[in-house]
Amino acid sequence: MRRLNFDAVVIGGGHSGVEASYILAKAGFSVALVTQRKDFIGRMSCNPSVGGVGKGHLVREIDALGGLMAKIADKSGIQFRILNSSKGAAVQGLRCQSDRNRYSQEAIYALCAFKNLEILEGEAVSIESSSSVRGVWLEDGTFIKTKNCIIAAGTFLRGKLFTGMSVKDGGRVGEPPSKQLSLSLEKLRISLSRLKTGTPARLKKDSINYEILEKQEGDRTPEPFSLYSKPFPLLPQTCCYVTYTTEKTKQVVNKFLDKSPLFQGLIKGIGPRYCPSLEDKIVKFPHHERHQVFIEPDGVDSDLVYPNGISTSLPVEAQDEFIRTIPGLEEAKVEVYGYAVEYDFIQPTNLNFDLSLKGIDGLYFAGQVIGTTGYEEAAGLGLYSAYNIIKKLKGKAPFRLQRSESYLGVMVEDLVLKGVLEPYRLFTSRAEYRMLLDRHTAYRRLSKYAEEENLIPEEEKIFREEWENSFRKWVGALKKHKTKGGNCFEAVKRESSLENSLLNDFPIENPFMKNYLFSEIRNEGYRKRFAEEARKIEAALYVKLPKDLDYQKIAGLSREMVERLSAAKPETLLSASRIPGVTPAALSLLRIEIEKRRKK
Amino acid sequence: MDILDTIYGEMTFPGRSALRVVRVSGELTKKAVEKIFDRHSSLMKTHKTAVRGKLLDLKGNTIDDIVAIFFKKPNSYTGEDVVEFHCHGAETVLKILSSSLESFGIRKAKNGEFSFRAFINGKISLKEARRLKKVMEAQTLKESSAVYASQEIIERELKSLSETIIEILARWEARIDFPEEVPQEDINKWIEELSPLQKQIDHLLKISERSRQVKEGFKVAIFGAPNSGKSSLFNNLLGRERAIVTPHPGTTRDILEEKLEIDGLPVIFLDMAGARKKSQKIEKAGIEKAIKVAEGAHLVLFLFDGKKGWRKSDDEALSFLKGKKIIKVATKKDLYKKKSLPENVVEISNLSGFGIEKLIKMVISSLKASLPKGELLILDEREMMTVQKTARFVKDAFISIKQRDEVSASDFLKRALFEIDELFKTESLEIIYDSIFKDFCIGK
Repeated sequence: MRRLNFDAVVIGGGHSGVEASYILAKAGFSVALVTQRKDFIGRMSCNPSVGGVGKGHLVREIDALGGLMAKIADKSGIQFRILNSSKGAAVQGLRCQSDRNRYSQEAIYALCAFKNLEILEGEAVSIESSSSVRGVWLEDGTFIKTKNCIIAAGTFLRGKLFTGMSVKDGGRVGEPPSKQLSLSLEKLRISLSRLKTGTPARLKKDSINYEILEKQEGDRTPEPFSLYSKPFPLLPQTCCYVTYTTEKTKQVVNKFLDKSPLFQGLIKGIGPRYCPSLEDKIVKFPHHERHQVFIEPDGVDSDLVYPNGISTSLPVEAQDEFIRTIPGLEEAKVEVYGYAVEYDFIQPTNLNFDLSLKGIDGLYFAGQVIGTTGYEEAAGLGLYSAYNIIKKLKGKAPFRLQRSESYLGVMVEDLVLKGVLEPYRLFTSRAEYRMLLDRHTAYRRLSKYAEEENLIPEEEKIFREEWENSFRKWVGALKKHKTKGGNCFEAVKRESSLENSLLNDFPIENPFMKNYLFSEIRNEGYRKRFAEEARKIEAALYVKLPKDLDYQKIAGLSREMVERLSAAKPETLLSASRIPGVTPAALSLLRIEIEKRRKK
Repeated sequence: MDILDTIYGEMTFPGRSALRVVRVSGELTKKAVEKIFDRHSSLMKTHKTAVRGKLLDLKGNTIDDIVAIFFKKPNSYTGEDVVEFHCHGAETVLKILSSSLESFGIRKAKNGEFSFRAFINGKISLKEARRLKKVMEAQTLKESSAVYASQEIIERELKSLSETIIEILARWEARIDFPEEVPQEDINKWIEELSPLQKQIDHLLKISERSRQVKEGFKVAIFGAPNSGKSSLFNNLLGRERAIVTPHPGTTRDILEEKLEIDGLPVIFLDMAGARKKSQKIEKAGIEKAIKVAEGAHLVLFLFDGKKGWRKSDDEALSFLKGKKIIKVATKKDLYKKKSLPENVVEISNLSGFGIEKLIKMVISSLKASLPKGELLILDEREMMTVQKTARFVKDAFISIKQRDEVSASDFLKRALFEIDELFKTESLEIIYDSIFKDFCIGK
């Protein structure tokens, strides 16, 4: 029996686990990453794509905080697009198509570069703990001694895969689930619930008739996710194709509904409303004539494509049949069939704001296992939990981001305070101050936290400072340069079509800088106003609730309120106000209690 | 107002009556009862049961034979320990009881304080508390019965506004957050979608404005040439309604304000004495000021010397008040018999009091005509603030969308919605998502 000892152990090598181990290792701590297969680290289990509206913002924040996702997405990107490009900068979302294998390889390279990070192949079966974590047992009997453990098991906890009426155990196609870890968590009195998600079939690239499909190109001058990506882009750029389901597709799907595990009640877990299966779409929106299908490349030299939009858990014969009713896919060959996965998750309201479990010191959870969906959300949470372990190991106060300062802060607070009814995805509309959170300002907002923990290498730091300087110089130049009716800055603010003519006078070639500048010009006024409002509101609401507050002793609080408040342990009045069901009367009592204590 | 204090208050209407009830609520109640009620030990063992005993002063002398009822916390109106003393109606009993209670540090309750505590302690809902507060604030019986009805209407209006906003935002946020799945629309469509809000918000603003009028009073400006009898009328009006009037000497060049309640309506009379002076310069400044004040008034009493008759200069002055409600008043009726005057002129005499009663009636009917028909809606400060803030954010949304900035417009609209949420303690964001996922097939 091997005996090992680490500062932190990360269970799971998905997007959350990768980000968490990367940050911990970068901070210089000894880390063990436990994963069933080393070569599957950073694997994209669903669509070969990173970013989007909201999600893209998150990737930028990860970059600003010294994380990995933006860098490897840039290295493995084969198409880059800004979604919502015609709308305000605050909601423009950067997204890329990725080379699936390359993305995973880049993640592995990045992790293997650390001498203080050890990748342990095997299955984590139990957490040794009482009121705090003592270590992690692997299936082969290895004991890893540690005080800090992040469980980032994704969909693997008691994962079940559904294709038609046949059910198989599995965390992902071709990989076994983790059953024992679930049992071990239950022994620790952690209650687990079920969620569901799904993925479509993978098709042979050369079995598709591209001639009749609508082509979708990337941006001509793509913007990278990471400020530090150079050279960029690295890989040859490709395009996607768009097609649609037909009336025939509907008929086939309807024909097989009696073999749908979703509609026959086999699947108990709740799936995300924003990521429905094709059968779900057809049943819920019977009046829709057709549904979009994006044919996305799986990689530069991959022989597969990913048909985005037809995720399904119908039986294989149904998949074969309905796929061929879609224009362009008449001759499509299925390489891997679509399936639904149902898995255990822990309701995030059981966690503290540092993502550690209430009641067990040092046991952290991150990613899909706490009820999110999406690589970006998972990565963000992995990074966030790692930051907190760093703080803990250094004896500092927990890491916490405000809602007005980052999407990551919005997500963590939403999860911990409200819990989830379906897998959580980040939307820009979830943030109260999205004007303050556009992708360009991520570094201004967040890099200071990374620097505090030495997570930004010196050369990147210098580069960023020069970059911000040059940005300020451009702003100055634009403000100085006279044009019709004032200076350039104001002219562009009034008339955005002037942007192009302005570029003739000011040859700003770097798309990153160009977009940053135009966003700044357009949003300057609002940003100031919202920033001021956010500051005021937060000052009032971020009044801290005493840590030792015993809700039972507050006169007048109903038992229900005592339960809710004691369970959520809100840090501030604001957090308390966001707990579902907490009444204004209860909030007033809290306010009074704080006043009372202050007077004493 | 300290929520931790123990408070007392008379529950019955002050004045002569057979019985008077005093309620004490808070932590110190028990301590006080021990000292001032002889059968305190049996009283404190009961709950909601009448106990007969002797009310004592601090020296232990009996001052009344009373009934006391103890309501144990949290099962009392306020949620705190409450004792009600049912005493006999003598004023002295009440005085001694009050001073005894105060010696324990128990203070007199402020208006609405028992209900406020009931709310804080979760005994009554916010809605109920606000309603009670308004009922207590309502000055006449008629008003308080109207409050119950109007509260429902106000809530319905605001809820309907929030529903409209949710409907718009569901479409907008869907376009913003799911650009690939939701059909995108031209900016003109966004503007078109926002426009129904204008009507709704204008309507609410009007209610809010009227409500403010009712609360603050209707302004009636007394306007006219020097020596037309403005100050006399002002004093006359006040004199009829109040015992003492003391117009400050030497302030005649400024505006005098007096608030009266006539026929249930709060009316503020503004005396613009000395509006016109002989010196050209001062005259001009005076007129300008008078006109400005008159413009802010709901009604203008336009005075002229009846003995001199209607003159050209009166026409000139009148032309500055275009669009205002005006009652023309001919003064000094005691100094002339018959005169050819313009139509619709009220003749009065400040000296004899002739016509004053008629004038007051005209003022009231004119002001009442400006009130909305049907129920009288009364918004409290908090509701008025919500309406105003919401209106401001909606206006910002209009400005932004016209600048083709759909993101800011959307954010402002969300802020408007959050203002209403704040009032009702609701959370609309999830409703927006429900609506999005119901109406649009999201998800690639």
